[in-house]
Amino acid sequence: MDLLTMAQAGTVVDIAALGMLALGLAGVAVKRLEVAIVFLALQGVLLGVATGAAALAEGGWRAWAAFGIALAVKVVAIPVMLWFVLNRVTARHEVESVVPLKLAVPLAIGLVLFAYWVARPIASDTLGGQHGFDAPNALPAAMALLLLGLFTMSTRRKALTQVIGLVTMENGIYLAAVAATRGLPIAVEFGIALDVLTGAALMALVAHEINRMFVSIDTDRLRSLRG
Amino acid sequence: MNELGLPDTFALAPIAVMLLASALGPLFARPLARLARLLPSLLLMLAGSLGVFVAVDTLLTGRTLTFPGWAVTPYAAVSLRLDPLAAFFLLVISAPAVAVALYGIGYLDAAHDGHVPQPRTATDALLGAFLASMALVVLADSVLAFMLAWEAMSLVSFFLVIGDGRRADNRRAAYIYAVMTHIGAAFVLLAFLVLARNGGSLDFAALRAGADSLGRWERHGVTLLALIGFGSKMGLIPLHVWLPRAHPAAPSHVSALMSGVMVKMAVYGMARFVWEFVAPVPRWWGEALIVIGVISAVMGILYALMERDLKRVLAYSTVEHVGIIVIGLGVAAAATNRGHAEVAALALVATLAHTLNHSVFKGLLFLGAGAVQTGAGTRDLERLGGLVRRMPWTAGLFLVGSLAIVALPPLNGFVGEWLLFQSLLGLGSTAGTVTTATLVAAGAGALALTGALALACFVRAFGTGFLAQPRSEHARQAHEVAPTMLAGMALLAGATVVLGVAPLAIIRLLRSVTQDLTGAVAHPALGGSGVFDASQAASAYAPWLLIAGFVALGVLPWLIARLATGRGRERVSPTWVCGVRLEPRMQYSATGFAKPIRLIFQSLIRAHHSHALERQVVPPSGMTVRYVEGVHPIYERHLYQRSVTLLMAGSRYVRHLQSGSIRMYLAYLFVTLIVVLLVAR
Amino acid sequence: MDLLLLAIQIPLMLLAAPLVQGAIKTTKARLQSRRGPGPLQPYRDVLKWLSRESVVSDQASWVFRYAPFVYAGAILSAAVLVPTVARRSPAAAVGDAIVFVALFALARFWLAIAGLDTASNFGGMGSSREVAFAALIEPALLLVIFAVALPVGSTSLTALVSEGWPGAARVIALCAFMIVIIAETGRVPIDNPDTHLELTMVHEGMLLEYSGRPLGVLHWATHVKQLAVLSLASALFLPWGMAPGSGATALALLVGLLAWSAKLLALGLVLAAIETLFAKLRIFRAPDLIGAASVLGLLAVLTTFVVEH
Repeated sequence: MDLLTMAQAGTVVDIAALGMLALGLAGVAVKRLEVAIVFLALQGVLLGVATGAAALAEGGWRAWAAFGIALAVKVVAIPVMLWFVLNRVTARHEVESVVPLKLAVPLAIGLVLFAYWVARPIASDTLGGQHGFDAPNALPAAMALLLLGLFTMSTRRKALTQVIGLVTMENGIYLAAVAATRGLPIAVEFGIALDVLTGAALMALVAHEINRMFVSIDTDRLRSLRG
Repeated sequence: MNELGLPDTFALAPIAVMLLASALGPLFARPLARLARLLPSLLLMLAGSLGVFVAVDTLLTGRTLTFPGWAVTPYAAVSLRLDPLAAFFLLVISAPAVAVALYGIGYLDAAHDGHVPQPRTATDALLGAFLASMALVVLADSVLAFMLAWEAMSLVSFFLVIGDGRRADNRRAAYIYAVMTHIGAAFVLLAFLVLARNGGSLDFAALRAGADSLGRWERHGVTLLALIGFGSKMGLIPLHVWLPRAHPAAPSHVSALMSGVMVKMAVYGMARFVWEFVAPVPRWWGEALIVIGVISAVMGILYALMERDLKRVLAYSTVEHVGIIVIGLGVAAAATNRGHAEVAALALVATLAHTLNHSVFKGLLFLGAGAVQTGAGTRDLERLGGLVRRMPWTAGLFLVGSLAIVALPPLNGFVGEWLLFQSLLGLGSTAGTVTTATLVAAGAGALALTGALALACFVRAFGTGFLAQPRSEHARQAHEVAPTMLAGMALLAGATVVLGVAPLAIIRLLRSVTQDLTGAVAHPALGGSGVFDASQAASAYAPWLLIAGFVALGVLPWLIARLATGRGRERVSPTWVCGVRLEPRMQYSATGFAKPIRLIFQSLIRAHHSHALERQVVPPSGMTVRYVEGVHPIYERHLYQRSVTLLMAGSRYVRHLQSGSIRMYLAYLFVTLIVVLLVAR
Repeated sequence: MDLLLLAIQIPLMLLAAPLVQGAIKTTKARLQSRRGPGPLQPYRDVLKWLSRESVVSDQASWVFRYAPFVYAGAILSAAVLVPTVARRSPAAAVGDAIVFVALFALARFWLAIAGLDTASNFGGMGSSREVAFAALIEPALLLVIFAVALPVGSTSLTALVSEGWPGAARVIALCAFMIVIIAETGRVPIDNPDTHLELTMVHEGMLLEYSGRPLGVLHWATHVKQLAVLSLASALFLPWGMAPGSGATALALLVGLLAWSAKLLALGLVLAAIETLFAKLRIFRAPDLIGAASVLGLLAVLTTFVVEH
């Protein structure tokens, strides 16, 4: 009862991956936090599309569960939570970066190229075989998202933007899992999703608290706590 | 186990019973206090007996039992295997366990004066777990199983050393112990990982199979890592600093196991490395082990002579015996390397026999020290004395232990050393090079020096601890200890005699082990130097004939005197001390007794002493002399303190990395990730 | 053969031992232009002690009582192992050179704890010094044995008996062994057997509380010990005249006996000369001398290999 063939699903995953990568790159370039959150939510939607395609191709409750988790966590829970915190904690809805945007965008593009350089050989090894989809861009894109997420986390001042980086990273891992294995064991997927949800919630809470203590969510203020 | 129709899994029964004993004590502590007092000890005695049975059965049949593993992950399984070598070490664990458990019944009852800081249930539970973890170390057949058991053994013994944590010296001993044991474990793990990388699996079988394909530098590296890792557990100098602190701090029956048995687990590990995982070992290994062993043996016994705490004396003596065992391993390794399988077999028999013998007599002596502590309330030699009258049984049993540890015939200590001399001679006369022969001869000389110093050490320990007049009120008030304690010691004393007069039994037991490891059997008439061979040109030692001759010839002068001059008469009179009243402080003190040795070996032990005259406030005597002496802690100062200083300096430098900025930490992660990706590609 | 040799050796050791002591003392007296008590004096002394009442300290325990028995048993057992008249240890099946050394250690252990048992400071002093010196003597003795045993590949006393003229290694080993003999028999320049001065005594200190029969047995056994080490020296280094190891005729045994006596006399003469020529060393200079024996022993091992390979 496959609604999609494997090849079709692979193409969908490939396109979704490219879309996610574009959104990730755009996320580095945007200035307003609201836009960044929307982009993140859109990434989640594309991830949902990818998992959905996988589920249609693969069938079985596990794939559908993965699809459900992706949608629930990535599209709904995290963006809503971030939106809520954003409106509570800070008046200035601007991204504050230690690296100027003029420099950050070329660096991000460099990272994407680096990711392609690193992941291509792995991609051609594992994808298209028995386990993965035939989606040549999926794994490099996943790697790039991972790097971009970490890059975002380490160059942004506000705790909220760091949450965005974390979720971007996780999206990359999820995408890699979908592309390379057509879905991890459900327990692992569920675990990762829950971890990220908890992490994001915690960081949101911390951002809230930092704001209360230091009247800002700039994590650099935490430096004064150093022993 | 087939003759008796027992299933193979019966071999695991000892461990199961040990764990049961460990669990049952605390479980019944409240509702059934009387039962809880006896049950763990009785179960441990049962477990020990089962262990002896399983071990002897495996050794005699020479069979290897494997047990299905439990695959924790696809790469690492916990699996067990009982081969003759493991069985022999199971024997080393189980045999003293019986005596220790029996002793524990009375010992923990009498432990009201605070020298056993834990409640009975805790000590019993830990004791069972301790024995089980050691048994699992020798049964382990994968790196994961070995390291789990190894760490469990260290952890449980850590708790036994720290007690309830109220005493500062116990805490310090336990802390140093924990640090050293983990450094050791890290080295062992590293050695295993190198081997596993080569063998392609964490199973011992793969490690064994991969031994041939080890690269030259891997071989050197693994050997060195194993030496440091196991050396720290054995207490080889200079990695011994924890041992004289930790072993005395534990309750005495636990000390007996720590000193008598736990250090042997490292010997076991070393044997596995030398003959299986790194076989054939690099050429320098045998010689290096002999030199290291000689240093530990000589220095260990010299330090033992400088101590006045009876248990510290015994702990340092363990350093000495570990040194002797390592000399044996070295001879065996060197002979294996040179292809003299028979000499290697003989040396291995010597090593393993001494391993078992040491666990028996050192166990006995530690139990004796515990009895002294219980009966006299102190184990400071300068405050003891005269116990031979107040604690006659303990004194007699301690004397047996002393005679055995000094390697005097016909007790078991002599068998091991005799065999070791023979194997040294075997290596020396087959080696054919001047350097090896000289090294071997120097090793034999050092062994003789060690033996003579051990004699001095135990004459001192027994002579000042048990003989002459009491040196303190404690010793004057001493009382004999409980029958169960004496029975525990008597078991071990009996074992020293049996193992001493039946050395052939040990060789028989070890036949399958030496066959497995060296491919030869140490049989009578070995090359030029036969063992226990009555033919004229071969070295020989026949304990029974010796005892018979000894008794007959010892009686002879008396018989002659009786015949020549009639019945002897005897009168009792005070000791002659130049006409003044005899006082306890006139007799030689333990410190004074060791003084000639301290002076002779001053350049080795770096002892210091000073004395000061102090005006006495209270008449009659105008002045008193305060005498202070001790041994400079050269290892602590020159090795450990320097390393710690270096480490602290390095840490201060590294601390700059700790900026406190989350972004910086994320950047570290980022950079690391990039680097890893670069390397991985 | 072994039983015959045993039947010769046991009485020989027990009966000749005091004579050797007497001969050395007489020689020494003559060398010092004294008349001396005559070579039979040790017999008279031992007999006198054996017949006397024993005074035991009220501090003494069973250790003190059993020590002379163990001492005598260990020393006599060791003495029986040494080849004397024939090139064969009468009890080679019982023990070898290492057992010989260990039996000496057993005797030493018991005498040392007996010295401590009576709470006398003299006993403690004797024990303390005895065990400290022993720590140096034993390695030297063992190195000598190793030097001799390495080419043979056995520590059996039968195998160790020299064949023909001793080589260079054995000569060096003999020098080391002479020092060991001096130390083991408690002679000048290490110990002085003729004195009870507390500053100098080692062996005598441990015996101080003994009297009567036990003292007699201890002295007798000490004479046997001296005879045993001298016999060992003659067997290892001066094998001339010894009867063959197996199938010896009565005549050969007799010749062996005479040769043995002659060699002991010669060795005794050397000891007496050394005692006369040298003064006793300060007690803490003695280790240097005994240490030299260890070095010589090691040198003998080296020589064995350099010369014979």
